[in-house]
Amino acid sequence: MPKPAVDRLAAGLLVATPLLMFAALWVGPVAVSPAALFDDPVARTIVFELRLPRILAAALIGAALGAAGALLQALLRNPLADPALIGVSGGAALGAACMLAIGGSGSLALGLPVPLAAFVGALAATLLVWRLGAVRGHLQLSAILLAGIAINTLAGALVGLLLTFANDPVLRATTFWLFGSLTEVRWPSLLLLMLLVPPAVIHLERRAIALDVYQLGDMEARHAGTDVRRLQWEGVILASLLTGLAVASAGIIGFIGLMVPHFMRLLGGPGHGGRFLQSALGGALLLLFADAVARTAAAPAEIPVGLLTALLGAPFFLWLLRRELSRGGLAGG
Amino acid sequence: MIILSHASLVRGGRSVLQDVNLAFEPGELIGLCGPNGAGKSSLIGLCAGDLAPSSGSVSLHDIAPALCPPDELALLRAVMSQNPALEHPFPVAEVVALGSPATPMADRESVLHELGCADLLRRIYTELSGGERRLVQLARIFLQAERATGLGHRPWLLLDEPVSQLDLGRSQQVMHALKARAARGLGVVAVMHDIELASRHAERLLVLGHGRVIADGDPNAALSEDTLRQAWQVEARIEAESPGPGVRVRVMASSGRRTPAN
Repeated sequence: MPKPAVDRLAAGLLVATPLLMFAALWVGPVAVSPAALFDDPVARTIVFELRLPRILAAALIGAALGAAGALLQALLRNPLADPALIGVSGGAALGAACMLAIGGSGSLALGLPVPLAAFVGALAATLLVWRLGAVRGHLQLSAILLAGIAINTLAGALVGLLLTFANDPVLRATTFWLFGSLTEVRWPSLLLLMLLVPPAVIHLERRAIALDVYQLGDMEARHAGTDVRRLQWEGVILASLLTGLAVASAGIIGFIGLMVPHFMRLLGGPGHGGRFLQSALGGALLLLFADAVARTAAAPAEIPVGLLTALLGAPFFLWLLRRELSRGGLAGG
Repeated sequence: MIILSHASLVRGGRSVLQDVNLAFEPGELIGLCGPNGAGKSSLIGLCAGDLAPSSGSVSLHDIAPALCPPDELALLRAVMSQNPALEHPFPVAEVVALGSPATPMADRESVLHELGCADLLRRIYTELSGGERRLVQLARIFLQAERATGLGHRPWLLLDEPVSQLDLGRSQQVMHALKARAARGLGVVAVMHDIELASRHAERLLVLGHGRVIADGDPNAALSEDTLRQAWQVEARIEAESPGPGVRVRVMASSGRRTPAN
């Protein structure tokens, strides 16, 4: 249910995101000033062909992961859900890696097959987590997290196996998934992100009230008029789509989907009205910032951005886990 | 109207309800009593559309509730289940409004006021006691029913233990709120364990035992010593409340279910 604090938060994020995107254009191993665009073709190439698509991708992938995290937390009724933690990103990476191995191509930039395979992998992982996480018909956090560990381990092993037999271009292209990086993002995958991420976030905002009611429990939500099966299927497909798109473009970037929705909940309250927009914008901001650090902190070398988000996110996850444990164990869900 | 015709229900291989024939008319408060495991919640589940009868039929406003889409069903009945599982720190005002999302704050406060707990409006749901949570959930159910009424429907209120965990005063207040809704033409079916309270407030009392209807009718008539023996397996003396309505139940100290000795 939108309220003034939620609206103010969304408005602030809506202003901050383009500002940070603009600022990020001028950050990188090569110093470029806005004035140089008028008379330096190299500066134009750096800004428009390298940095602009990458910054747009950072914003859209961050948005996809933030929204996917908020959605998974709503669907699983649990604040510890994150696409990477519960195995959804691992499934997406495995799907994409399989497609690359079959195609024998190192290019992630072209065509639909890789994002499609990532979506299918994410969907399979989400359904598997859902099935394994339900104990006597009720989702249990401990079971969800353990299922996530198992799926991540399995997906990691299978990706590793594919790498063992892969040729050089595939090896190069696949390796970056292990860490998550925005270096390979090009216009075609960017177009796909532009085309699908904003409508998905808008659609989720329209389902916010149903997701609020859903927090009462399956049966109570049905009593209140929610088609629970449909809502769950919609959620599973959208979470898989958002995660699949992010992973197909940039590999596994963890913890954005955990941290950002959590902060938005702290700032805006537990209701879902505005949560998806806020989490998408917050995710965009966080990944833009992390990518700017990744590009510059060790220049001319680049730190994989997934490592940075993991460095931030893993301690946060431990803190959150400890808090949940102190609140009554891992049986909630 | 709710009609159960030869309705039976089997769950997990166990017969929960057997050949139940009932007709509920709107406009009265119907108390549904019986021992644990008698089939009360299952009967509510059948009427609410949560469960489909294994044989026989159930109709709610002339439709089979188990086959009705949830959004339509939400206009025909509002249900209070035993344990809603809301674990997020929602403000009470937002939980109440889950029954009818666009409800103005004044109306949310007024429905809580009717239940004697307007002071809860600005509290956090997860910080409330079990009884207070029940009241907030009941307020949510009332708002759902009011929304349906506003859209021209006459929804049923199907309530599974609405006064459980409530103190004496709040239980009375809830019963008055339920009677007020029945007086406005809504049908109210409430599962209750306090049979004295039920007998004082319900216009009709239904006693279930072992999945069958044991007694049905005016509370003073339905609650006989024989009914208590059959349903609860207790020896008790029933005294009519004076002034009525209602009864007092004095359970004999030596009675009660016994586990056969080995």
